[in-house]
Amino acid sequence: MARSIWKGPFVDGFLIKKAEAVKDSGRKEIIKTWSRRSTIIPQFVGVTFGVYNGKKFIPVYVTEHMIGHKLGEFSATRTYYGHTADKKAKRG
Amino acid sequence: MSTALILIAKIERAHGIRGAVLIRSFTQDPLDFLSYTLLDEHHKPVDIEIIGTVKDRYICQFKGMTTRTEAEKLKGMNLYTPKDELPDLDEDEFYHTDLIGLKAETKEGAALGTIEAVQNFGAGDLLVLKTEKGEELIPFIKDFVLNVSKANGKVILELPSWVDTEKE
Repeated sequence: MARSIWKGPFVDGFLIKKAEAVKDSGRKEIIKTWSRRSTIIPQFVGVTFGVYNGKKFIPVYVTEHMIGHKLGEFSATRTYYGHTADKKAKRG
Repeated sequence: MSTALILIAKIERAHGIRGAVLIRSFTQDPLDFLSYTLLDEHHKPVDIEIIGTVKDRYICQFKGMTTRTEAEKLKGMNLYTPKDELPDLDEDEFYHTDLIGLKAETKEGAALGTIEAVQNFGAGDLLVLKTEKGEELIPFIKDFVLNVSKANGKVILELPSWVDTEKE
């Protein structure tokens, strides 16, 4: 069953405080977190989180289209190294 | 052949009794493998057409191949394409194959390690940097990846500092 709308999105409070502090400071920092359950809210856009996947912290650079998803969705717990073929990477 | 070859697909096994094979594509868009010139392991061009699909594999027919016995001989064969056939890239776009193996350095020129792979878990590309201490993931964004020089074979990085949330 979906979460009730009246509750609003769930976000761990310390994450909001830290994200705002990093944004205000302008430093290039990655915020380590174990909180995979936290929803990505608009205040997080532009911040990079290091989301724990059970073994290491996966950097997650938050962009607008990620709002509403959970942090854990972007930190896979299984790694697969496929063939490179014609795969491209874009420097954002 | 002087140009570098890129592995693009692999023949997994024979399919049916009429000489068809099952091919696994490694390209970003799986169907793209047919848009390149396909070469076998001896650098000879191969002519194939898709006749069906099985899950994420393609059933393909080699021109002139009519029996399963012939098709079974191709099991495990890799298919390549010349690297210069890959399409041109936009600014700030790189092929994974070009990034892998680059030496990573700081702005000051200190060696950091080698780029071992490029990963993407849905939140942008990540460079897997192999250092003496182990493996580190660097977001492929301008804040941390200052410059990529394919000609010099190096990438200039600014390593991110990490801050802890739960310890406050």
